[in-house]
Amino acid sequence: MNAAIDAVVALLLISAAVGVVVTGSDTPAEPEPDRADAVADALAATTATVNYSLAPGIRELNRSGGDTDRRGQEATPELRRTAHGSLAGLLARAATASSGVALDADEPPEQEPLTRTRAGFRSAVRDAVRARTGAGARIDAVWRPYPDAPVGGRVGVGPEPPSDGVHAATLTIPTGVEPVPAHATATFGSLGRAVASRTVEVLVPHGSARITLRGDDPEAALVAHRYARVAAATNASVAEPLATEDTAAANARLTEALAARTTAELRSEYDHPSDAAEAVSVSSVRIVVRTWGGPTEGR
Amino acid sequence: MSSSSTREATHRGQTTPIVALVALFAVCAGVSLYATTLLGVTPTAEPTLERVYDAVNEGGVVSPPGLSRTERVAPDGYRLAVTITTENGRWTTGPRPPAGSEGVDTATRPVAVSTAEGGVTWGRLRVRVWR
Repeated sequence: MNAAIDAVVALLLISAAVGVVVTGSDTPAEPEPDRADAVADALAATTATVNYSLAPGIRELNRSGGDTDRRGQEATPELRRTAHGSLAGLLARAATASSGVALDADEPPEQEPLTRTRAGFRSAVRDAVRARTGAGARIDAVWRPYPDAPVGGRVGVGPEPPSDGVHAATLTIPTGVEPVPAHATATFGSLGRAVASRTVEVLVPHGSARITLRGDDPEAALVAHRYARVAAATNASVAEPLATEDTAAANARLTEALAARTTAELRSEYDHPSDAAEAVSVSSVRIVVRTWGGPTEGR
Repeated sequence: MSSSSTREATHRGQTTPIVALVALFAVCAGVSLYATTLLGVTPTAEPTLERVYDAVNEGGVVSPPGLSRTERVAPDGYRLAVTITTENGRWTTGPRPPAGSEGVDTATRPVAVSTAEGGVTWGRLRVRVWR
């Protein structure tokens, strides 16, 4: 008799399990969201060509009224530019190109980009990415030399994700500057200087800046304007080296102006220079991909 | 049971063979019912999608001619159709799935697709699995 009772109990449990399996799997109807790592892989491998205009930068230049003989003409075909690259690489360039410097303000530095030269590029990249990832994904590309740095840039694509049911994946894209070498991480002073020089190099790469300054307007005027904006934000003076297109010396002055702040912030935040060196991310842009359910109308 | 109290005492812990056999049969039938149900409702498209992607991607990029490598990827007892869709076209390999979505398990993911012109465009990889 006991065996019969056992068997009945076992059957009850099994049928309950069957019921759970059947009802649990019968609720789909809504499509599975794209997995974040799949989107990240596709962003890294897909290439795209974006067309943009330098007109926003020229408009800003004309408004600021700086050196009048370098004024450019708005809305001419000569201001059209084309960029080609992987979607992730374009996002990284858009993030660094829209960086800001906020040494005094409390708000994040990306709030106010240094110049609007790449505003057209930035929105073209955002459109190119959004057209492919659809409404079920949010992509944020962030460049920060170190956590809570007063310098940085960001570009975000897509709607804000809901609070739950979100998949996430991260890509890291190089900014083009060398990582901080190991010998520079011995003291806070040398680390701060290394980070500051790389930060300035990302803001205004001295090699290409020199070539551009020796070239024609409007690019030369735009680079000079960018230098002036970085110098104003860091309380440095670069007019003298720039008069001879000595961009290496100009970047050295900007580094000088930024290094003290960088060193002090790293020292106050970390116990040891090697801990601080691990947190430094000046040579890469982080791209965070978040996906969730609902409409995933990509292509 | 009709046994007397003395027999009950001596045969304590034992049971009638018929009852035991029936119970054993019932439990076995129950377990196999559960297994069959589980097999019927387990999603097959998602894992198959991963296997298809692993088989066709080269450095994260899939190419339409590479779809021929998906022939042996289908789970045993299932049939598989794989489709790549881009803005320029659509490539499918495998048998045509039955009409209607009944019994056909589908999964998709975004992929980078190499094109004949040498570019890499955004596309979708889609697998459909059915018996």
